[in-house]
Amino acid sequence: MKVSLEFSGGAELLVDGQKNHDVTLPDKEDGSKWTVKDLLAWIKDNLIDERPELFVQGDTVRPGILVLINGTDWELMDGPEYELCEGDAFVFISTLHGG
Amino acid sequence: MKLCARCETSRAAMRRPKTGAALCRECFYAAFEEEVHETIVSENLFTPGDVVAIGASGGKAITTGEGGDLPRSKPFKYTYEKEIVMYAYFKKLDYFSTECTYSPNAYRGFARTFLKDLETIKPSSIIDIIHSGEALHVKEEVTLPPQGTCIRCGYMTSSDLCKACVLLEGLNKGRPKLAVGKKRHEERLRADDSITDPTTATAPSSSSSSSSSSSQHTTQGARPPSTTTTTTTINPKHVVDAW
Ligand SMILES: [Zn+2]
Ligand SMILES: [Zn+2]
Repeated sequence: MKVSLEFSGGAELLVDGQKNHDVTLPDKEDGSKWTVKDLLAWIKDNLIDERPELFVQGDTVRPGILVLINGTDWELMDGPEYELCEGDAFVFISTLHGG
Repeated sequence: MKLCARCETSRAAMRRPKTGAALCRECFYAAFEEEVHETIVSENLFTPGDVVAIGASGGKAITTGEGGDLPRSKPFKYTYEKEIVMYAYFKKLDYFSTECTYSPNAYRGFARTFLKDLETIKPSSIIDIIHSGEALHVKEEVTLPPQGTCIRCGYMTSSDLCKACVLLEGLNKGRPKLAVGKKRHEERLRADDSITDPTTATAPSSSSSSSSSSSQHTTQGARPPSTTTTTTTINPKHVVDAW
């Protein structure tokens, strides 16, 4: 399944400084649907080189990171439980700023 | 799909942390702008004719203007960070944030993380803290130390060196007591300044080397893609501090 990921607001620094990532997710072994929770784990394993704790915390994103699914606040779309569809666009925006 | 709670016709785009209401983009813009406007008007942040510099940054990054004592206007102080960032994202405004681990103020990140965690439990936590802060007042008979600028990083301080620089230096030199210790330590630290490796200083050199608090300098953020926009051709009367 192909989905697009955008990291912004500083979150791109965690993924090689690259804002946009078009990724292809493999079918899950148990045949179940991909959820955002699965996607976060995949991002942590495949895109983030260091300090994954700045992005994920347990099953969800670190507090202070906003998530949009197809342009809509993920809080209106089941959050981490949302089931991915082909072509979905995810945006992760960091609201944690320094100094 | 969820409909907007306000116009009940468009598709909801975000949930407001303040009210829990799901709003479409247009209704969110309207509500957000109305509320910021309300803060500006009710607190008399500006008067007609004022020149205003906008800096979407915090701390020393936007210290500018004459005398170093510009009023910091915070029209977004009651605005939730999520809303500021969503607004910027939907409107395609440049927005960048980073926790600069090399910044002398990076220790603030811990406090921010703590606040974020609190906010997850109770969305109004930050607003509550701001409210408490505003309720504090200083007794009339208390004299406050005069405010100056840190001779190393340019941030406001009541002594020669700001607490962040003292803390950082203490940690670097394995003498954390400096941060909480007596004046004597700070004096010794200043005496050490001459042998400090200049590469450890992260503030732009144009401002960090000045020891005169009355001299003027414009400090731009050290982060390259900063959204800080400071008008320097004229002397602004206010600095709008988004954060
Ligand atoms: Zn609406
Ligand atoms: Zn300092």
